[in-house]
Amino acid sequence: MASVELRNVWKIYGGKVQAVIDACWKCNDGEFFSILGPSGCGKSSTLRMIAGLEEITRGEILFDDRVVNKMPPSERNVAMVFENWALYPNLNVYENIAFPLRVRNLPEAEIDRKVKWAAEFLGLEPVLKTGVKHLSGGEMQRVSIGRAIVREPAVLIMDEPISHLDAGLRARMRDELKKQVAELGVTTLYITHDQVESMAMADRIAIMNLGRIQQVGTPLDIYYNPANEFVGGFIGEPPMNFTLCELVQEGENYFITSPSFRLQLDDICKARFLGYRGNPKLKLGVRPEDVLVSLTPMPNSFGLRVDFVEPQGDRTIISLQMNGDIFLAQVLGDLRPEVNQTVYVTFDQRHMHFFDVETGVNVLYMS
Amino acid sequence: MNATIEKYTPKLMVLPTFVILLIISLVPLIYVLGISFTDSTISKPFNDFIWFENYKKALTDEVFGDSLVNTLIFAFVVTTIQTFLGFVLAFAMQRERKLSGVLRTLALLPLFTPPVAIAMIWRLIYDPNQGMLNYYLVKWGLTNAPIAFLGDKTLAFPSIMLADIWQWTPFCFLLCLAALQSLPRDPYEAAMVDGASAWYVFKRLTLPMVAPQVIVIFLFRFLIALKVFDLIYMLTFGGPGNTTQVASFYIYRVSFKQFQTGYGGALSILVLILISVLATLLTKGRELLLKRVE
Repeated sequence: MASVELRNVWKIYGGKVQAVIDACWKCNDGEFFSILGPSGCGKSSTLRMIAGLEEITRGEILFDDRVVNKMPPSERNVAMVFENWALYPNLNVYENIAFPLRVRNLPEAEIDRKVKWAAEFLGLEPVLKTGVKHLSGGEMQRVSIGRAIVREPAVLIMDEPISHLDAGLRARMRDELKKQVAELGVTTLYITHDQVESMAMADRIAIMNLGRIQQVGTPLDIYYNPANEFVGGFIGEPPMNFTLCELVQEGENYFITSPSFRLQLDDICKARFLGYRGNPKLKLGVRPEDVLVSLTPMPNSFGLRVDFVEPQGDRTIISLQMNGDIFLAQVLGDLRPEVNQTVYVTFDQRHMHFFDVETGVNVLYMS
Repeated sequence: MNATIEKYTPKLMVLPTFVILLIISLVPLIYVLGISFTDSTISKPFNDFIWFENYKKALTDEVFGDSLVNTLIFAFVVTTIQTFLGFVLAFAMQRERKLSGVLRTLALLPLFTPPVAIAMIWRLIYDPNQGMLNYYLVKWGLTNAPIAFLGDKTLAFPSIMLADIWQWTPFCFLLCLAALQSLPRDPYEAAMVDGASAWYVFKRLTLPMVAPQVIVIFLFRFLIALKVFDLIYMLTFGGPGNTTQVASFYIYRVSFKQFQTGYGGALSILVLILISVLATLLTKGRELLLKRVE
């Protein structure tokens, strides 16, 4: 087992395309660390550099504080679960799992013991002698995990291992995978574009966009304290609402105003703004579940017209007209207003996020 | 009405090709089959119906027997060497994406060149008096006197094989290159991460993955090689003696030099049967082999 650290790592393809820009983070020994981002954000390039399949343009990658930049993949003792599993098509399940052991010239008895262990662990015993071409997606995925864990790697890298499975199987494999990795206790780098996977499985998440690391933190930290507008919008389903507003000070009181609303900040929120000297024009971000809706006026609330109502049983998603845009609210299932009705809205002020209009940085970010 | 048209349109579209194929392959076949039962000569086709006399004669014809053996030896030797060389070259070149485009074009040149021209060039190379090969052999002191490659009983056949290998190796190279470049890339990355050496990857992955295609290339080339004619015609004319006599050339000689077209027809039919049986056996053998690999 090992820790993995990236120090100012860059990947530039053909001298022009910047796939990874100045990545700095550290995954601790035994940690389940997820790299999350939309496709093309540089997460696969990052992982391929860690595995040694791709050269590092600039910067350093360290395993247990040892620089591995020039080390070939075979010496890094990393195991990888590929996006499309990359099984050896001409070999059966047993031989696929045994492959990394045979490469190391282990005695036959030990190979057999380890392969059987992995097969039992992953529930692959019934298909051990089957050619991998005849397996289902879920089985192929488990074979590729088996091949990765059988040699007890220092670092286990998984590149979108379950994104090719269908939805039901994906949910089941998510739990199973998390359990299996936890049992092994191996340092795991898990690459995905699916925020649900990252949130559910990872100890910590690094969010990437356009080649840059946006934020590194625990799932809850990232959820409740997004570093910027991208992170806020990327994490959460339904996604965070954004609208432009202005911070106004009137004597002792602070307000945020926009054409659609005027909201007085409570003491806690006001305290966070006390030292703020930046641009009073801000972008407000509120998650749908932090939008509080009532059919009758509440203190410090404002009226909005209902555009669309989406009942989902336990909850209702209401689309509201806000500054000419759509603003989503997620409320309990028994609240079902009519379309075009005016409802009264206020925000949970503990979970209001304010972003710089130009840079998108969270102006109240607590690092 | 419309349904009828729709039903027959595809068949009508194929009809011209079908008719052409019929004329150029089925008609001659029936014609040859017909004359093989007669004592025909070139000037008197379908002369005297003599049943299986020609076939009986063929089975005791030693030259024909030898020519069949020669054909099989020739086809097997050149195909084995060409497939092996083609594969080795393709394997060495497969990573050179930029270079392989140029190489592919260059490799096509011997295939574009008319076989007669190729044979002419090799005849010049082998020539005992002005030939390039003898010139260098003598110059470098490898032999004292020029060697008549094509006139020597032991050297004639290998010399023809060498020319054939030069002509046809690019064919195997191109097909092997295509086979290798169509292999999936990810298993190789997986093997890199798993720490496998290049030789181990070749042995455990590349070879088994590419084997089915290479066997097909071998069969394909083998069946073409059984029909060798042009090189023999141009280089040795079956000689010296009958040492380079192959089936197709012997049939040519019987039919168009000795004018025994009836007998030549019988020989053709026998060769046709032999090749069909051989092709079936080889294809079956391939299927069995592939099952064992799985």
